[in-house]
Amino acid sequence: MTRDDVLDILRQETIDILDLPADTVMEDGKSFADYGAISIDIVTIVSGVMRRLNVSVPRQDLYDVHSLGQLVDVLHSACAAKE
Amino acid sequence: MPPVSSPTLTPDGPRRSLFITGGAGGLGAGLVRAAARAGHNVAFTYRTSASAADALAADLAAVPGAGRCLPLRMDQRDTDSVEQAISAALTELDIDAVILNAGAAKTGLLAQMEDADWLEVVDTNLTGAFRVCRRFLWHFLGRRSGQFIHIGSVAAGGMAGHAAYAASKAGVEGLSASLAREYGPRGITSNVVSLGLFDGGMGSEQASDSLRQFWLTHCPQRRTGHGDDIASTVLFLCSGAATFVNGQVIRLTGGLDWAP
Repeated sequence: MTRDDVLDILRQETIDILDLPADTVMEDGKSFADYGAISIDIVTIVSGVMRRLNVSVPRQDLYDVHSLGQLVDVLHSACAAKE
Repeated sequence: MPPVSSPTLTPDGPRRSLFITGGAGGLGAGLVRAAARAGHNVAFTYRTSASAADALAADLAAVPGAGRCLPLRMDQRDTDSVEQAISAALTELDIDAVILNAGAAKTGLLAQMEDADWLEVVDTNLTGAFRVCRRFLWHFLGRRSGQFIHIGSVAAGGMAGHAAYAASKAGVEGLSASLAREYGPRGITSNVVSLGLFDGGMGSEQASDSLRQFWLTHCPQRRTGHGDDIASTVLFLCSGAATFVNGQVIRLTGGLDWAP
């Protein structure tokens, strides 16, 4: 599982939950709020991505995540640890 | 969400995976037995009764057609214990529904109640339920479905000699209603099954003779509840047939919705 694979799954989940155009590009430096997400959207997206990746990131490890790029890194690290 | 119309979505429908807290003894063990015998897979928790939990799982493993049983130690007063037990359950089973049954009670006059007794009851019954729900929300949101069933009590309306228990169960009703509103849009439901006086239940163990007599005199059905009464209702709420039941307090009281 590459970092780009994780980013693509995150993009798919975000498009699905926020009903965004299919060609939406996710940028590392942006936050979910930049795409119109509210708090429950964010938890839903992140939990959906974790389910698809079959990883579980502790809730506390997400407190310091402020950008999509940071989130992808955290999820990618969890995938790498599992492998 | 699309309307639920499949004829297979009945209380006796597809095998489900359930997580039941406090499942090693009392009414919880009855729930575990009923669910497993109905073919559902069950992860259930215990705090101290490891031998009883193992014996229950072994008994059910010998029942033809019974679902899988997975006993797990969990102290819901401890966040780490909750996280570990639920993570272990989710490694084995894709949990569909959570039954929050574990609880504690301390009887006595409020005027004489120690802080420690109050805190233990509230930490177990209310904060413990919060910890379990919080952890499972991440699972349910990921699959965009899930059902919480809280075991409540008519004591939620107030009960002399049981102030901490009553307050905790009133809190559980608020917790459940909040879950129903906050996560209903994501396919997650939460309901309370509010119990009157039940044989084998925590209330029954602590009921005075006068309370029991009051119940038998004033309950329209002139009896206490049985484990089967709970199991049939809880298994319905766990089924695909109940996905539009949300935010409700379902009273299993025989018609007496009040405690002295």
